Amino acid sequence: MTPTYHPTEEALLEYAGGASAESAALVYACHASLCAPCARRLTELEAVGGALLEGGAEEPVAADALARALASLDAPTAHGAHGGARDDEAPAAPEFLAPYHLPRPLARVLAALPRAPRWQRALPGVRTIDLAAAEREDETRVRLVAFKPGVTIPPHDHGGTEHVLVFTGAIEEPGRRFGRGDLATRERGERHEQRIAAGELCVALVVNEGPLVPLTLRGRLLLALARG
Amino acid sequence: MLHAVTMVRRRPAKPRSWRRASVPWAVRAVNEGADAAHDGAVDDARRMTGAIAIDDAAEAVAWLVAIAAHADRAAFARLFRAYAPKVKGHLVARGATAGVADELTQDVMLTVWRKAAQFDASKGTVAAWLYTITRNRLFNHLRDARYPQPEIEVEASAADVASRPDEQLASAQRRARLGRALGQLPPEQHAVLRDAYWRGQTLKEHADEQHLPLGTVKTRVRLALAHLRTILGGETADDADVPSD
Repeated sequence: MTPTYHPTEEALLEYAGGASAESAALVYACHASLCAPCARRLTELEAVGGALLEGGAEEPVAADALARALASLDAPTAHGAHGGARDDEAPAAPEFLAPYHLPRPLARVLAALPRAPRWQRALPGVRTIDLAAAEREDETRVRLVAFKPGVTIPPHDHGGTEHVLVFTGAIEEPGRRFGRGDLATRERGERHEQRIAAGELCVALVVNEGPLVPLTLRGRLLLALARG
Repeated sequence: MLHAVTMVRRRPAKPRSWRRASVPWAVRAVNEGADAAHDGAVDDARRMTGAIAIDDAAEAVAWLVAIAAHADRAAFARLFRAYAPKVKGHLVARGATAGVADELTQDVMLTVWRKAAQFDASKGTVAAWLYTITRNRLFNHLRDARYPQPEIEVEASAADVASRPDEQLASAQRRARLGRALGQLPPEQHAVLRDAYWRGQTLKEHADEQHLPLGTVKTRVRLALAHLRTILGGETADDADVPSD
């Protein structure tokens, strides 16, 4: 099923140009893995890149460049020899995450973690797996998050851009429902309150480029709890 | 949402940190105040993108098919002669020094050799495929990380599709049309695309550099892409259900 909420055209252009931060690129790559129209849009945008490469300025390569390349064609590499359509097959996500059908770009990130991932309790009803170290306030937080059905996320603002990409279950906010493959991107200054839909665990990729700004006493208490 | 869990307790072996800023392409500093050269580059690019022969594109697909099917070294040599200078030109434009550009060009061309079977002519042009490999290799070089890419679960065998003559022709025609369409874009729309693809700029960076409101730049992007889609015609008709934001 095609998702309802997508990255903007501009975001996809920045991705295609290679300007996206790694965290945003992961979000878009995961979305496009679940969304055929966006995958097609990216293909079109990369075709534009191809046309520009094709028609752009050329630089002469070194005189022996072709000879060197030919000489190394048969050399075994870290990625396997010629014909290796399978040489970069994505690793499977860990067994305990299998029920959530995580897209392959995310499975690659999980496989590259220094330790086997496992859920960490973060808040009542919320567990997380850190995908990126974020020790300073200004560093990007990249996490896989599991919300219990019915959990309410108190009203809050964003210190920076936030991306939430849903894999299972759903997140509801007034007038909208984000299900599998849906991307909710919020810029700084957009306040919102969200609720996890009843019935199913909600697993999502959550990227935060700035610190939390809770807007209620309860939110502040929860933050203090999480930091304790 | 969920900033309340940003302070996660420390664990002994932490994942690496992901830098927040976009890729620090060296070219940004290099191009400061080089507006005159810029305009020349636009003219060059526009002139050159207008002159792409359909025969060449079909030929490039045929080379890839030959490499995938029977490790054809002669086909690789032809592909190398045709495209390695373009790949290197792109890397240099993105700020790589000549030495680094030479090494990365080698890597890109060897990746083409190894992964030729993954090229899918029904989904894009040879140049587009080379462009993405080059972009990803440069990201990997600068950031020591893999540029995440979409991976759709079920795909037709690329070699099967690429070897069908109608697909080869469609790919070639698409490429020629796209090249012409790029050449016809108004200069300010062409400039946004050039900065996005040749300099790895975000739209915000382009807006700041050109002293334009971000909204104006976004509008130019949408107009440019809408125009290109019209030229490519029909292929995206079923995308109508995708909202623009």
